[in-house]
This record gives sequence, structure tokens and C-alpha cells, in this order.
Amino acid sequence: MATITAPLDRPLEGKRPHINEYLRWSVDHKIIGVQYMVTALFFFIVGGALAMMIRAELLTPALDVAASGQQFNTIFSMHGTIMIFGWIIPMMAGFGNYFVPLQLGAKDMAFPWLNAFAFWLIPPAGMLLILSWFIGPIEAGWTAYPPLSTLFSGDGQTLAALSLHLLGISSILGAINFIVTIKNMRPPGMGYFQMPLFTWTILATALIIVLATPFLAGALTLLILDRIGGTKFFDAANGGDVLLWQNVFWFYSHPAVYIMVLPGMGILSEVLAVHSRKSIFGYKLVALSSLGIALIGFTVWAHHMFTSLTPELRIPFMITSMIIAVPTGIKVFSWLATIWMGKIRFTAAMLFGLGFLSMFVIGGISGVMLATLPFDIHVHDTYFVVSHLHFVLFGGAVFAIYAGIYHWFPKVTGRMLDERLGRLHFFITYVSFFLTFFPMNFAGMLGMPRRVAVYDPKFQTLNVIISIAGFVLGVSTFILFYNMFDSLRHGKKASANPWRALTLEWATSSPPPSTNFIEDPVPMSDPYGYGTTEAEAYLYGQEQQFGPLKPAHFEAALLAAASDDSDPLPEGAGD
Amino acid sequence: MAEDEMTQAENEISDAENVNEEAAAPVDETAHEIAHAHIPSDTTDVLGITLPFPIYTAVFVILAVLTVIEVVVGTGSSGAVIAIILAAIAFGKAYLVVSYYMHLRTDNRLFTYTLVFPLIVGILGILWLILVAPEAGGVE
Amino acid sequence: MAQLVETHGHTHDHESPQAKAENLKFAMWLYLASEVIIFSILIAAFAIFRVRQPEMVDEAREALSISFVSVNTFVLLASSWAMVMGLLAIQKGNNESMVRWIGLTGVLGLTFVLLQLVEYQELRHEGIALYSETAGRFGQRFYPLTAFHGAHVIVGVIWAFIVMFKGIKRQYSPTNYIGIEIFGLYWHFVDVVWIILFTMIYLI
Ligand SMILES: [Cu+2]
Repeated sequence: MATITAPLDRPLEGKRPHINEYLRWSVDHKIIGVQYMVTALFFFIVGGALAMMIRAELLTPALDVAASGQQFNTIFSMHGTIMIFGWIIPMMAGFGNYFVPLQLGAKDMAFPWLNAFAFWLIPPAGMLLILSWFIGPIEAGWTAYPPLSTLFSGDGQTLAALSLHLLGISSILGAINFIVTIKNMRPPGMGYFQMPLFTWTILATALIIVLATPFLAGALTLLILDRIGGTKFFDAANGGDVLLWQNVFWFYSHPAVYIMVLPGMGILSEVLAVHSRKSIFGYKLVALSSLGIALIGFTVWAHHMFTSLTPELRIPFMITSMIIAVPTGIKVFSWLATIWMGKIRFTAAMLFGLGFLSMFVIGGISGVMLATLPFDIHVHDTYFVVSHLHFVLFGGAVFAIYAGIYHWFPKVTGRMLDERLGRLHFFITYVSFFLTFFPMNFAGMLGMPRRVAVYDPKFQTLNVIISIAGFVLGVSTFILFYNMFDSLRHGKKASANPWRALTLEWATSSPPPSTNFIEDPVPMSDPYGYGTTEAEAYLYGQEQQFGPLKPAHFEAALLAAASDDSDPLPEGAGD
Repeated sequence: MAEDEMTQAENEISDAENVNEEAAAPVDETAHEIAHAHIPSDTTDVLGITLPFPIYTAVFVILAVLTVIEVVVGTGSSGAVIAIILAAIAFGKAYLVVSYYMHLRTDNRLFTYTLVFPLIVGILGILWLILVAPEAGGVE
Repeated sequence: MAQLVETHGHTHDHESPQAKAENLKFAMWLYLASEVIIFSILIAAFAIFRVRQPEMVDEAREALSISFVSVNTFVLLASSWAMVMGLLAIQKGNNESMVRWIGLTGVLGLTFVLLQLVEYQELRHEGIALYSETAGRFGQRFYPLTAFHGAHVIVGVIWAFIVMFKGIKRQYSPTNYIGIEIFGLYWHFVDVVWIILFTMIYLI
């Protein structure tokens, strides 16, 4: 059955909302999505500045940049907390907010008011978090293990805990909204297995959030009581149990890894399919593997406690931790098979997609290494772990966010990002990222502990390499920021569907009108059916109806008549 | 008097229809649910006897009686068997409230899963935490 | 793939009151799902204590008045019953009756909170504080759990009076009572939590 979408009855000229719209309460999911993303990018800069301070401190084995070891503790604690709770999770929520309703062809989320409310919990939470720096810094790492967090950290720890409470409520409310939206707002013709994969991963993520985040809330409640109520839940000297915190914290925080990475995997599926003009290989398995990851993700938490857990309980967690590599592996092989023999366009989005793929595999492999009990005992609490988590969260989640930004910026703003700058950004980021985090593996295996400001001088060479690469990595971020600011004003105009994609967010103008679609869009029976006659007819129809798709560089052979515009991709991009 | 004489048997049937949480058809089911909005009658049939109050009242009476039984059983005696009996009664009461007052008996089956899955996760979590908790809590 | 498109070719409306009602109910259940998890952590904090240091709980129980709490439990159960009778009333179109039942729900909930405060007062006199070296560690496992539940009851009481007020202003009808139903889900959930807590803290 042919399902040619006729989404619009007027020229594809979108109008960007006025800047003031973003500064006040709004129930439009597109406004809220941008609010999330801009807030998250702000935290990215803050967290990044802290990372630069960490690397500056570690240039030499002695304490020099930080005023004291305590201050260094605070710097890396804030870095971790802000990057996880202020940057990655809200950023993914931003993508979800903006694109899930669009991909479903819906006008808005199921509960617009709740959506706005969930967002507006973030600014006060962020303020509390930053305020904690000034009233008694947190020193316990983002994991906030007691007794560090109860007996040693300053009052800021209490503020940080309150802040995380707010962020937790925000993400639970957001997740409920996503689940209801995805269940009930799909258009006719879109079953669960016709949904775009990004929406699938947001669904899996939302399920994790609803079930896992309350664990953190419970643990934080006990922590706050210990700090200000005088209870001794975590005070071993008074009958408390520090492992109670570790268990409950990781009940939440291992699944939270998937909260951060799963949406990135969804973005990757979109980007790889669109930019290599291929259908997703094994769509159903990829979709279901998200649920698999969500489910198994709840059974592995104690691999973070290999050194503190009763010895005989460790082996089961070693096994489950390895099993979770299976659904992840399904995704990786699906991505490889998807780009295999594809008509690959090396756009910035695609490059970051491939960057994710390569770096995430490294992170995945070091993850399996860490899941191996004997090896974990050896590298436990060393830079090996730091390397692993950054390969997963930066090489994975952040690269995916970059890919998503390059992919969807035209939809959100109506302007193309500069591809040349985008590629420059990619190459510098990719190389400096690798040089920053890969040598950490060596440092770790040689025994350099994490979370120290003063280290054995024999590690200095490695640390200098890491720090210099780290600074380059930090600076490379500004290429993206410059690109975004500049392209907002001077970027090439983007038409409705610059990448010639088939999912519904591209079936409306860029940026979309406030009602998203002028008339109800009809989804393709296969959202990734590139190369099928259905897809060709759809893209041709879009072209016929609304004039040439700008910029015209995809499938030039098919749409030869339409290619009048200059190609924004310098070389190797046109056919 | 009785707007909706939906008997037990009919409930079973509408339940069976709702089991079908088909991936592709969530919305149709929504409409279906609403069409069968479940309003109990003003009387309750138990073993062929018609009692002059709605099922909700009958459930309340049962809950109250169970609570009295619990208190009688629970005060004074203790031990593993007693604990299991008490837990069973408590879960029975919870089941009554959830299935009758919160309408899970007749409502969308998905809601049942939405409750049961976290319940399993939560109970397993509690059991784990009890299992790994230190004996007699550290230094006295 | 194609046949899926065909079987669901008919149109539907996300904006219809039915669809919205169903969305709200599902959202409420998801919210309750997360509540189940957070309560389970606080319950675990108590259960660990009960299993590992049973003598301390036995000791503390001598200060607790079972009959008093049983009455309070009965009050909360009754408020749940009143709630559901209110729902039944509006489903049958009897607005006045609904307002009375929901009002009763709120009053009974309020009674529960007040009686719980009385109980706290009694325990304080018995020397059971949130944390005290002398009286064992019962308080730190008992107060947070019951107070967290009590906070839910307080929210529910406020919500009940809001529903009652809306009922007085005739904002519900036999075709539009989803607001009452959602509140009911919340209220019964709080009741269910108490059913478990009562048995666990006072009896087992
Ligand atoms: Cu983990």
C-alpha cells in the first residue's frame, strides 16, 4: 500500500519563535525542547570548565592549581554531577521533547502543562547545585558514598541532594509524559514497530526512568536525614550500613547509564540510516534490544561493588554484566550492517555517528573487561575506570548528541549548520578525544588511582599527553558553539527535508509551525525504507509539491530536475 | 436501581477482551475501555443472596473484618508462621483495594502490569537489601 | 508492514475526552509505579532493621498502642470506602451525594493525620525520638517511613477538598468524572501503602 504523505499545503517556510518565547513558561513541546537543550548546553560549558581545571591540576604530580586536595575533590565531584544530571540527561530529554511528538506526527505531548512543569524544575535545581559550591563544597564524588558524603562533605552536599531530588522529579514527570505520549498519540498506521528508532529508545529510557529514579530519591532521602535529621542510616559506627547507600545508589545509577546512552543509540540509528540511505538492518531486533537493555540493566548494579560486596555474590553480577553486552552487540552489528554498502554521505552528523560507533565499541569492550571480576579487582578505582566511563558517556552519549545537533539543527532553526566547520569540529574532537581518554587505560593499568590531585611522578608523561589533548578537546567544543551561533543568522536556509529523510519530523516545515503539521501526516509503512519505490515516490512528491528541497544534495539522480541550489557540502558529498 | 447489571461472568469476558494488549492497536482499546465504563450496581450478590449495598461496601466490611483478624492474630503471638499469615492477610487486603477500589479488575490490563512490574522490582530490591545487610548492625 | 497500515486506517482523535481520560489514568498509574519504588526503599530500611535487630523492634512495640493504631487504620480504610462511594455517586449523576462522600473522605483523611500526630506525641513521651542513643534505633526507621506516608495523606486531604470544591461548583458529571477517578487512584494507593505499613510495623 502506498502511503505518500502530503503533509503541507503551503510553502515550506517555517518561522522561528521569538527569543522571548524561550524565556518564559510555554507549553509548546518545541519551545520546551529547546529550553532543555540550551539549559543543558549551559551546564555542558560549566562541567567542561571544571574538566579543564582537573586536567590543569593533573599536568604536574604536585598540588598546584587547586588550593587543596579538598578543593580538587569538589572540582571533580561537581564535574561528574553536573555533566550527568545537568548536561546529558536533560539534553536527551530535550531531544526527546522536541522530536518524539514530531516523529509521531502529533501536535504535542500528551500533557503539555506537565511537560513545562518538568522543565521548570531544572533551573532551580541547577542553581542549588551551583550554590552548593559556595556554602560548603561537596567532596564525595558524584556517587556521594557515605561516610564521605555524610561525615566529611560540607552543607553543599545537602543542597546537591535536594537538587538531585528536583531533577529526579523532573525526569520522572517527563518520562511519564513520554510513555503516555508514545503509547497513545501515535497516528493511524504507526504501530509500535513502525515507530522511528529514536522514539523507541526514548520509550525504553522513560521506562527506566520511572522505575529507577525513585531508588535514587529514596537513597537521597535517607542521606538528607542523616545529614540534617541526626539519623544514622549510613553511620557504621552507630549501627548504620554504608553498603545500603551503595546498593540503592547503583540500583538507580547503573540503569542511569542507559538513561544517558539509550537515546544516543536512537539518534545513531536515525543518523546512520538517513545518511547512508539504507534501511535499518534488523529493525525489530534493534527496537526490542532497547527494551532488553532496559530490563537487564536492572540486574547488574553490583558490578560497581565488586570490592565491597560479599565475595560469593559477585559471580552472578559478573555474568549479568556480560549478558548485557548482547543486546548492545545486537545494536552495534545492526549499525554496521546498516551502513554496509550504503550510499554514505560524510556529513558532520554522519561523522559523529561513526565516531560514536567506534568509540562506543571501545567503551563497551573496556566495560566487559571491567565486568570480569579478577581484572576489575586489579584496575578498580583507577584511571582505567575513568577511561571506560568517558568512552561510554563522551564517546557514546556526547558524540550522539553532537550527531543529533548536526542532524536536527536544520529542523529546529530552519538553517543549515556549516558542514565545513562541522567536519573540522569532528576531526579535532575525534582525535583529541581519543588521545585524552585512551592513554588513561595505560595509566589505570599501571595503577594510577582516580580522584587524586597528587600522583606518582612516573605517570606524569601520560598525564601531560592526556591534559594537552584534553585542552584541545575543550577548545574544539567552541567550534560547535560558534557554528551554531553563526548559522542561526547566516546559515543556508534549510527546507523541510534537507537530508531526504522519511521519518515524520521531516514532513513539516523547518522550523515546524506551532501546530507541528498543517494536516495529519501519514507515516511511511517503513520509516527507513530508503531506496524503495514508496520512498522515492514520497520524496519526489515532496519535491513536486513544495518546490526543490534545499539544500539539494541527496539523491541528485532521482531529483535531478530540482537541483538548483549550491551544494553546502564541499566535496565528496554530491554524487 | 441497577444501571449496569454486569455479572461476574461478563466481567471475565471483558477482561479476556482487554488482555489483548496488541502492539499495533493501543488507541482502539482506549475507546473500547471507555465504552465499557464499569459502574457497579447498588446491590451485591453473594451466594445467591442479594445484599442491599454495593460491592464497594461489601469490600469495606471485608477489609475491616480482616483488620480485626490481623490485630487478634498479631498481638501476643509471634513467629514465622504468624508472620506469614499476617503478610498474607495484608496482601489480601491490598489486593482487594487495588482490584475493586482502583478498578484493576475491570480496567485496562496494561495498568495491572504498570503496578505489578515495579512491585516485583521493589520486592526483589527489599529482599536483596535484607540479604546483604550486616548482622546486628555494626559496632555497638 | 503494509497490512498493518491498512488495518488501522481509520481515524481517531487524541483530543477526545475519552482519550484524555485514558491518558490521565495511565499517567497516574505510572506515577504510582514510581511511588512503589520509593516506598520500597523506606520499607527496606525498616525491614532490614526488623530482621537484623528484632529485639529492638519488640522493645519499641511496648510503647506503641496497637488498639489506637487499629482505630486509625480503620479510619483510613473508611475514607477509601467513602472515596469510592463518591465516585459511584457521580457515575450515577448524584452530584450532592458525591460532594458529601468526598468531603467525608477528606475529613477521615484529616482525622488520620491528626491521630498520627497524637501517636507521635505519645511516642515522644515514651522517649522514642527520630534518633536517640538510649532508646535504640527504632525512631529513625519508624518516623521517616510513617511521616513520608503521612505527607502523602496530607496531599490527599488537600486534593480531596479541592475535588469537593469543584463538585460544589458542579464541574463533574456522569460523563466527566475523570478528575475524581484520578484522585481516587492516588487516595487508594495511599491506603494500600498504609495497609502494608500497618501490618509490617505494628504486627509482624
Ligand atoms: Cu554499571
